[in-house]
Amino acid sequence: MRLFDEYAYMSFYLKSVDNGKKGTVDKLFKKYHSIEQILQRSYDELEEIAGAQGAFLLTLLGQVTSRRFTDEIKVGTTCSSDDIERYVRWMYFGLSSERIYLILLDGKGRYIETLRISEGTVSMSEFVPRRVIELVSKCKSNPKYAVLAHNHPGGTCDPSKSDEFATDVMKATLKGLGVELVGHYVVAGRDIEKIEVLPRDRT
Amino acid sequence: MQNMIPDSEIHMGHRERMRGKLIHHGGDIFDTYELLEMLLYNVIPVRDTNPIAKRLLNRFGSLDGVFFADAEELMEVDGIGEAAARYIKSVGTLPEIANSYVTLNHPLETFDDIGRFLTEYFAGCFEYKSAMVLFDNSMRVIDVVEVYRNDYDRGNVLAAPFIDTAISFGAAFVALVHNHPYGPLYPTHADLLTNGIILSAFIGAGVKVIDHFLICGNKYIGINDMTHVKREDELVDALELAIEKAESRREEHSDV
Repeated sequence: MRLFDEYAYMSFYLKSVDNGKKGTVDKLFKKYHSIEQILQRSYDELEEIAGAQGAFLLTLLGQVTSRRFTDEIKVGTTCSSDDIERYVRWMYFGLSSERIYLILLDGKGRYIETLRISEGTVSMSEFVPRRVIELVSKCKSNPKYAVLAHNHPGGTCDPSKSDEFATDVMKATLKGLGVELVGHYVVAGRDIEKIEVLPRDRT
Repeated sequence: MQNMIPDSEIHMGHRERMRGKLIHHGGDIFDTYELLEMLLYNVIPVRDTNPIAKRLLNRFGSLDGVFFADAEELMEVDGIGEAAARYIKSVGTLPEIANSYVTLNHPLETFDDIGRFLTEYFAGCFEYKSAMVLFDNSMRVIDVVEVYRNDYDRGNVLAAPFIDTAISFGAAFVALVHNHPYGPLYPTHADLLTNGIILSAFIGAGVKVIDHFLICGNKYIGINDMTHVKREDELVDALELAIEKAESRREEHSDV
């Protein structure tokens, strides 16, 4: 039943590709088996099967669906930790590349903005504290709290040692800007894991 | 100063430019109305969809509001016909389909959960089959895929189809399974040999094998306890242990 629904959905959505023939949809499901898997593929991978038009439509579908739910949180919306988790989950929907985002909140936990820190893995080679300082210091809305998020497309959401290390570096970097890091989410497909950020050592 | 570009050509190539930006920079750089504008390209091939997208968002407040609106309400917006309204509504059902996918997949947490699940899967099957249960990283079943039918008992089994399937589904864990529809409930020497070949290939591929189940009627056994196997050298020990277990089972069976 599930496959039928997904197949019918994709056939309808891609009906303008190869003039309504089912060949493209058949090939997509044969290779990737589900819509979720299809939408997590890169444009180049999709182009091989669905052509430029099909790959564009599939990339767009992932982005539109992601925006539909991330738009629920607007500037000034007070965010609970559940709201942030849902926001982060949808932010990475349909993304095939690894990205690092920083979500900024004010002193009352109201949403300010989301900054794209970089593309790549969260490691010292990809995560540049200087870039974080530049971006955060540009924010005029007086951020007080921040939530870090990155994804492991196609992998598991178990945080690696480098993820934990990056959390510590980010925490120290933000501390210098007067912003407190309150969480670090790792997203892998439907799964999400939060790396707890320990309170500052007061000794 | 004279305008160098005629008004009729101002939007020439606009759609191609928008497509190029999405492909190269992702959706982050676009406003919500621009994403909706691009979505409408597929169903409104000629008209400028930018003002239509803006009208939709003004009317319904958000992208979620647009997808949630009735087709009749959508058609009240200038530029949206019946086909476009139906298209928007159907695109908006994606999360329901994705969510049904999630709820259908329940976690199987223990060895016995998987064993019972597999006896149900093989119920009424009198052909020799080899299959694989694919799990995501939360031990939810992604799918059960039949890899070999009948051929499995003849010993001409390759590891490649198992590995290819697991990788293409993005599985984090797999459980191998085959059946002996007419018994016995212990692995043959060929089973153990095949098991070793497939298992070593999975270790190389970085996919964890939970166990290799053998199903006979409504009974099941795990050929070997593979949960602790992480390296090639441990695999040898595990296989030797499995052969010992199989031999003792064979002896028990012959005693009976």
